[in-house]
Amino acid sequence: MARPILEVEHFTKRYGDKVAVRDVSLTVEAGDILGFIGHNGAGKTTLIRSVVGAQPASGGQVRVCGADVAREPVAAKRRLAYVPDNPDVYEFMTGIQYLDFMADVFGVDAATRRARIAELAERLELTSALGDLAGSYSHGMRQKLVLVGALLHDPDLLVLDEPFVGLDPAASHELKALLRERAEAGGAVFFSSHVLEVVERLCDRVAVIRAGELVALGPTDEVCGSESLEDVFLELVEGSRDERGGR
Amino acid sequence: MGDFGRLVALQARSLAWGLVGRGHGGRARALGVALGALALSGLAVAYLYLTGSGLVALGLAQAIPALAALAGSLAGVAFAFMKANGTLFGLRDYDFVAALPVPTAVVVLARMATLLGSGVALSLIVSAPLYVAYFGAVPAGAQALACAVLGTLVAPLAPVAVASLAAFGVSAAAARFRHAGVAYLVLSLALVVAIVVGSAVLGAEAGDMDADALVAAAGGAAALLSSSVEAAYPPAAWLAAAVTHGSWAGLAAFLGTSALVCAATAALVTRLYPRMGGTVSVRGGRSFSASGIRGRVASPLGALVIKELRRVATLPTYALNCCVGLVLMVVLAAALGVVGLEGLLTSGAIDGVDVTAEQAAAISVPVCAALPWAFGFCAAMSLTAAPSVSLEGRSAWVMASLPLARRTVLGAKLLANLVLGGAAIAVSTAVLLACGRVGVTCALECAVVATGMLAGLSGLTITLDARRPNFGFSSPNEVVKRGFPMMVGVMGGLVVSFGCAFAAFLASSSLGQLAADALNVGVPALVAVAGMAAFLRETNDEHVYA
Repeated sequence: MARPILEVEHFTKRYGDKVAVRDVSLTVEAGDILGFIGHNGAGKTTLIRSVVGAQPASGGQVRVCGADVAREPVAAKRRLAYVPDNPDVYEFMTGIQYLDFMADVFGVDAATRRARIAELAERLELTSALGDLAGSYSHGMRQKLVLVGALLHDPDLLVLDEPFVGLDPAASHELKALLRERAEAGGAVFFSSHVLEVVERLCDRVAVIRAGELVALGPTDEVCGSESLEDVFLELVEGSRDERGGR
Repeated sequence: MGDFGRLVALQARSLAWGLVGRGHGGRARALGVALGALALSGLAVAYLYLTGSGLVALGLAQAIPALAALAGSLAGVAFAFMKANGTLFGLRDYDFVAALPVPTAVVVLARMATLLGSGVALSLIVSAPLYVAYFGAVPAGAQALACAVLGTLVAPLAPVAVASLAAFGVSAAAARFRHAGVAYLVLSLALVVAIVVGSAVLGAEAGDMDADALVAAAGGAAALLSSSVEAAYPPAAWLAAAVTHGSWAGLAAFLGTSALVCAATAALVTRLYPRMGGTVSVRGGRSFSASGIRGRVASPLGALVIKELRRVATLPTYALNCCVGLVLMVVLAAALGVVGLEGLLTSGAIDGVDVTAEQAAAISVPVCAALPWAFGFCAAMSLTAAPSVSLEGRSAWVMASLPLARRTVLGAKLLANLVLGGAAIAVSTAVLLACGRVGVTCALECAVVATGMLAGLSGLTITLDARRPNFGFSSPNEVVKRGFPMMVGVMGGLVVSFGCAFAAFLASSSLGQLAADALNVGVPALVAVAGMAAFLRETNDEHVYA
């Protein structure tokens, strides 16, 4: 059996005395699209930032294609790409300069980068803006730019934090298609979202985090059963509130 | 508290946040900022009082009121021109402010009140010591005193208002040019060079005069300045007439003009305000097509260095603060190449240095031993690496998620600094060697000292910035001008350069040239090794950038 592309084992993150994420374990296999949902402040971005190596874990392990993010960060990061919730890019670069920069860092050869930039920018309707400074881009355009940059090196794992925020309907549709294509090509996608309808339709598996703890994880149809994902999610959240109220 | 008061309070909190910062040590930083502001104000007050006393001694006391009005206004104009972008327009929170259920006029007045209030505070600092010197020499009644106080408070209002509007015009125009930042940077650096060269030339000309001629020239210049001020800025003349001759008409004209200009500008800004937020965010772009994707390939390190150099070239405040030393280094080398060390000493171009040709010849050897530290100080002023980690700001996630070792990322920032500094050192050394006015050993020591100081201090300061970066700044000025690593670099460079210059001078005079040479090679080598050791220690593992 092939090794999972993303392995999170007993991950814990503390900020001082506060435990933001406690003992979370999950895997994302090749071909999987895993949707990660939770209320604001539940710990989604905390886990995501540790997965991409942007912050250290307080406990547990995160591996990407077998490479430990803490011990072999460079090897792990070569296999992944990250699209953050606030895609702030260098304002002093034009779009094409940013993409060339990303391609250089990931060692993408000239012919491949030309082809990929042309294709992806065209699909996301960004081509005509690539000569403009990124500082003049709207949130949605920056999101598109970061997406193109993330896909240039054909990553095994694509990690996205709220990727649909700010995208126009056409770009949103194109992003869903891109994510499906990644999975069909044997890659893995791990993304957080508050748009539960999209998660329900797009994801093979879903993980629900509540107050830093994983409360549901599995195939989307198993987690949902006969209910909608929204109903399941609200039950989980309300359950947590009732528990807290009952204490 | 009304809407106006709430909006002004919001800005006051924002200013305090920007100055004091966040996290631990806020009170200590606040105290440090307050003490620093007090010290600078004290220096300015002392300098202006001495200037006023000097004018009184030259018999030009009557020129002081007009000069005070002009100086107070100019201080406010300079402040408003720099701060209007970000205070009055170009706001990060423009949409938030624009969406508030508050009349636009109130928003504009609240924004302008901050600039006008700062202008009044600066006018008090600048004008008060001049008036103290004036009233100490010229007997005056209550009316003159009242006019002076009123004038000090009112003088900056109209100029500050107009300067704010002009700043908007410049920013709106610059935003339409693709390389506006580069053009702004080149012009600013040219201005710095012109000021330095111009003041040196004026100093040299003054150095040729005897004392009586100097007094006469100064008096003539001040009188000319006074009449020029009154001609160029009539409100200053009207206020001066009110203070010196009790002219009610002058006072009325001054107050009326100030109020009218201020009100008209506020009305115009209110009218333009809805368009201001969008206008300055427009960027000149160029049409792009898929054929423009060239696919030039660079190594990861090369790409990072190019990125750093792009940031220097496109962020004027960064380049002006961190590269001016490199420009001054080349200017100094050119001056030495043209007139030589002894020529420079006897020219009077160096402020406060007034020596004859015989004296210059006698001290040229020890001065030559100390000279490399002037280049060392220029290098210490040129630390683009010092704030470079913090300058990643909200884009820090890019570096944090890339497959790059910490040493590669930080090394690229250091390398960019060394490339810029190395170019300036190479040009300066080539000029010194080619012109032949300075000895070969001295020229090479200048290169060694500059290189050592540049390498050592850039290594040390980037280490400091990497340990505690300030990604949450609200303006790049926070990290470029007031950042801890920058302070350490420049102040440390100042202390080491002046201390070693003095030590080299003494060593050459008392122990011989060999001792001075040893110091000029040994100390920069030590500084370089210490800085690089700190850098390598900070990056001695495969830890990621975060």
